[in-house]
Amino acid sequence: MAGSGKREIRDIIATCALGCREATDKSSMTTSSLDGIVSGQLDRVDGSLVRGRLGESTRLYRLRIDGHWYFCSASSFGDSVLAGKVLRHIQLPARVTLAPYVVNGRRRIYWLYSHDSSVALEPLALKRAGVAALLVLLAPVLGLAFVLLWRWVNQLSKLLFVVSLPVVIALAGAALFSGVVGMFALVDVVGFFRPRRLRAYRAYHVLRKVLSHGD
Amino acid sequence: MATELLTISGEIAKVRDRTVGADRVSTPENATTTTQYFNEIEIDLSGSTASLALLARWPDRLFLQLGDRVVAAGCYEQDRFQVLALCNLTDNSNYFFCGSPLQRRKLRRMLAPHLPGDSGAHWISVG
Repeated sequence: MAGSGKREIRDIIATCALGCREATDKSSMTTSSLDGIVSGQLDRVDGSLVRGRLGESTRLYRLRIDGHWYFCSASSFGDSVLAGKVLRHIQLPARVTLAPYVVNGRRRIYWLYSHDSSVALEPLALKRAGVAALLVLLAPVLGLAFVLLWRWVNQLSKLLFVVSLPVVIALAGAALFSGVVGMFALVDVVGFFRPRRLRAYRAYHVLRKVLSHGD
Repeated sequence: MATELLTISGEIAKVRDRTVGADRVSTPENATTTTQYFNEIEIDLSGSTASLALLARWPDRLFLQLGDRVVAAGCYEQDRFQVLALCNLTDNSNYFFCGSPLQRRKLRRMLAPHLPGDSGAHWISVG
């Protein structure tokens, strides 16, 4: 969010968000290019009294914006340390713009921008989830290839087998690695590629595009 | 004899939370032991002598804060009120602490009159 036209960017965010809110009020949100961006007054931030299993970064926070409750944890943003600091020390009331999405009837925050402190809590990088999704898909493909091609490898002459051995070992390693990583990353991938979360991601990117054009 | 389900409501006055691990032997033959962790949570309600006992396997999903109005359904076990379902009326979050679909349906029906509007449509599994 840093740059020469910081003030202009802030104004654009405010205008965009205001436009979205007005569009929502008029029930014409579906035609808006910034569908899914909400702006409002943050008047309360609570941290859960129940400790998260993975420490402070997974502690659930509850934010009241314009009378609606939104939930997030520091780990749901790209920079969890910054997110933790912002969530703990944000001065209330604060004007914020956010990209929310709903999971199990609970509003979650994909991206948050505080107008007063000009701090944006950027979302988790999609790249990591993309790589994990790729590994999840790659594991069964490689596994199946091994099952189907093993008979063919066995029929190779001794020389050809020795030559192709490094490739076979590399492929076996890749299959094993993608299988193990895919198994652990599956929950992350499913969580990351929820349709509503992807909608929030799209809204956030449209906003970024508007901002880059405005800059 | 089936245990009688009751509801208790009030404002959260105090929350005690501790992580405990329970060892579980998977098969008697090879006797491999796995430890399952969960949070034992006790909630004191203002204006009520009963304290609520919760067992959460996924505590990251649960939000509790002092002053929140809650309504809980459960039963008395060893002089403690063991919560099976909890509704936070402040932020309209509903939590299940049991896995049985039949019991969940029963609890949902039981707590529906206490919930405003259509806030009972979504439940989060914590237990």
